[in-house]
Amino acid sequence: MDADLRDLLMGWQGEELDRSRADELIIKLKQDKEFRTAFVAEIRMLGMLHAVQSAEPRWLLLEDELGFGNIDQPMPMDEFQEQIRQKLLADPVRPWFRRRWIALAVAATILLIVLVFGLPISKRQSQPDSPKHSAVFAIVAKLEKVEWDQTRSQPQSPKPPLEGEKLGVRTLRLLAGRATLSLFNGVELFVEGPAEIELVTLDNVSLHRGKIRARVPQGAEGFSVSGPGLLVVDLGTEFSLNVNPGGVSQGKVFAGKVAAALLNADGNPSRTREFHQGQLFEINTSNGQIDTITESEPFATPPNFVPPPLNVGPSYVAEVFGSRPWSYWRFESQKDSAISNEIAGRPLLRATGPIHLNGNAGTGRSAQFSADQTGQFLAMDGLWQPPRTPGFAVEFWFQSNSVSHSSLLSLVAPKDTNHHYFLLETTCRQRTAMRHPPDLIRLLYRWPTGRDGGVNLYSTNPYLPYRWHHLVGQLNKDQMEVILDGEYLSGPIMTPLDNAKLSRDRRVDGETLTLKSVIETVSSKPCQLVLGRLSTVPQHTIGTSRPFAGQIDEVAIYERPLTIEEIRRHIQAKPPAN
Amino acid sequence: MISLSELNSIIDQLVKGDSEAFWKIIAAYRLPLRSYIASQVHHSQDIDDLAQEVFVAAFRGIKTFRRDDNFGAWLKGIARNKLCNYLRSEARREKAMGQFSLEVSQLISAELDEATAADTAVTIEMLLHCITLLPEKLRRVVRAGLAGKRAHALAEEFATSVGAIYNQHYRANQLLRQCVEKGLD
Repeated sequence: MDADLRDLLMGWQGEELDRSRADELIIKLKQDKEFRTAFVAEIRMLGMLHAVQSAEPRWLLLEDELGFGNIDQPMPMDEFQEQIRQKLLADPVRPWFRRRWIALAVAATILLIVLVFGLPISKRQSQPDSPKHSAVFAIVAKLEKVEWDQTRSQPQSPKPPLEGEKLGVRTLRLLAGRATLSLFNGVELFVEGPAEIELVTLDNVSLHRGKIRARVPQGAEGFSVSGPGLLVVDLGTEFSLNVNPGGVSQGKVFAGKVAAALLNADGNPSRTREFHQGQLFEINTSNGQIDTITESEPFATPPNFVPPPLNVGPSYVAEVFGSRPWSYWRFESQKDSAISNEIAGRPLLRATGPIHLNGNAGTGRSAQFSADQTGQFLAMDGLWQPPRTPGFAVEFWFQSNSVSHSSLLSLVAPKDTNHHYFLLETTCRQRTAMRHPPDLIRLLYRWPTGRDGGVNLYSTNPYLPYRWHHLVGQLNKDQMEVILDGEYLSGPIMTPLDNAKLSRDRRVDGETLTLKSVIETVSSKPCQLVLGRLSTVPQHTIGTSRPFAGQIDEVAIYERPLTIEEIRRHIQAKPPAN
Repeated sequence: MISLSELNSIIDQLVKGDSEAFWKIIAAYRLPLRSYIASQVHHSQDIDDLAQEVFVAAFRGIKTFRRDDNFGAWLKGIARNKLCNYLRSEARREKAMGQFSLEVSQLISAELDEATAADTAVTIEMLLHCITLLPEKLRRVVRAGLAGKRAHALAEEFATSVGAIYNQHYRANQLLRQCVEKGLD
């Protein structure tokens, strides 16, 4: 590189330059058009590289301005994509490639980029947002020694809610005990009786009296708890609020920060203050003050409840072995950070972060993923290349602590990136991510591997917090299949229209092939298997982490799809202990 | 990129009060816009904040957009003003080098606009594939980037000079341009 261009770039990037050298470069830039062009080419490339390699930003101000949005919806097909698509369909081999296999791989890759980006496949295949999802927005995750006040029961919902019950707008009155509610945006609420809480919207609950603690995950910031004459808005945090009769309420920020407000008669904030991690505060609606305090009454605490580990018994294990898995991890023992593979010679799983085994030897153990640990995951030593033909399957059990947008199992290629090939995750409704239907299982298949695009399939039935679920996700020829607790759902990877075009015979180097067969042959690569997190990329963002809290057990991967009969046999082989 | 008819349809929705329709515009233009800003700003948070400000300004001023005009160019015009203000404030704060950046930015503004006029999310995304084709060492340089002290850290790791890291990034950029051009051919 020309020394002037290098120095200019270095100065532009913030390296120190002598004033005289800087002046020289400015003069050259003014006078030499070629120099300007070369510099512009470099900074344009640097800009593109930064944007394409960095995590997607979180634009809270825009969300406030625009409301809930689906920032990740597929872009409409443009002329450029259409041109590439037409060219490929007419002639799949690009002349500048020298070797046939590269030609086929790249043709298939580009074609799939066009198909994936250009067609709203995910819209057609995903489950529509059914009325049940718009009417309800919370689920009763756990009830501990709860006594309900039934003296003022509401006519439309006379019975107290049960664990696993979905709730919409509703008032809950607890005389005693603790209720854990999981909202469909990933917010966890711990309410301690005596308390009266009104579920208003996905983003707001009104605490008339009592104690509440809110754990608000990334993507749900802005969640608020209102009370008589007051409002506490989350700004990415975990906080508690005690609303007492008499107009004096107390709060504490456990992580992040909140904005606390006194409300005027119109319900608008008349005075606000921000509080940070560790701060105690008091909102006094009688004297109109919001202050920090040094002592407070006790706040609501999260449940100290860990569901029992999975105990499947020998017949389940025999059934899995009978299906000849490529790898099978039972999580019965952990040496240092390693989980052994039941299949001899196959790779270990290695834990990063405080993942540990829950339970006792001999009665079943499961991998426990703690809450609030954004960097923890299990990753397989080495790589696995799942065969695209005839397909492959992953099978495991999981128990989630909440309704959350969390990655259960992902296949990543290349290793240690957030470029996904296959992903199974639990969904919830978040502002800063794709507007997935909440409380379902999402199966994503993405070829070529990358940070976005791909085809989604959602389970028909939901998952419930604190319950063990059996899950299989697989590619079966040209179908994606997700089987949650034996409930089978499939969806095509490509649309029928595409299949017709892709199935036409073409002559490639004297051989008759279809593009579909080429794609199915080449569209797989060695993948890194990650459990409990979207990727091993250290950054904690919605695009890289989506940490899972709960338990995972009995993970098996197969180099073929499982049959539905086989899957149901596996489930039936597990005694109904949990 | 969004076609003219799609854009008009989105603007119709916005005018009727469906503000969520603006997310479609954001989805189509966020990557080119962030690229454009990142070519002149080096702090990640500032890049994202500026891009957000541009989209907010575009949303609020959507009624001033003339429908037959180039939307990308209009958006870039807003970005240019925001960038100018940003670089001015940086120049005041960082004195000499800030002033240098401001002068350089003003000198290359027209050429940068022209060079980035045809950039779309698809072409920029293509770089991800191209990066994987780079030789290992160049790939590491590209993935690390040059902002902040990254070039220094890489120079230390490779036991070389910061200037040599810039030379390697330059070489990588040449290969990436060739790769993208071939892909678009």
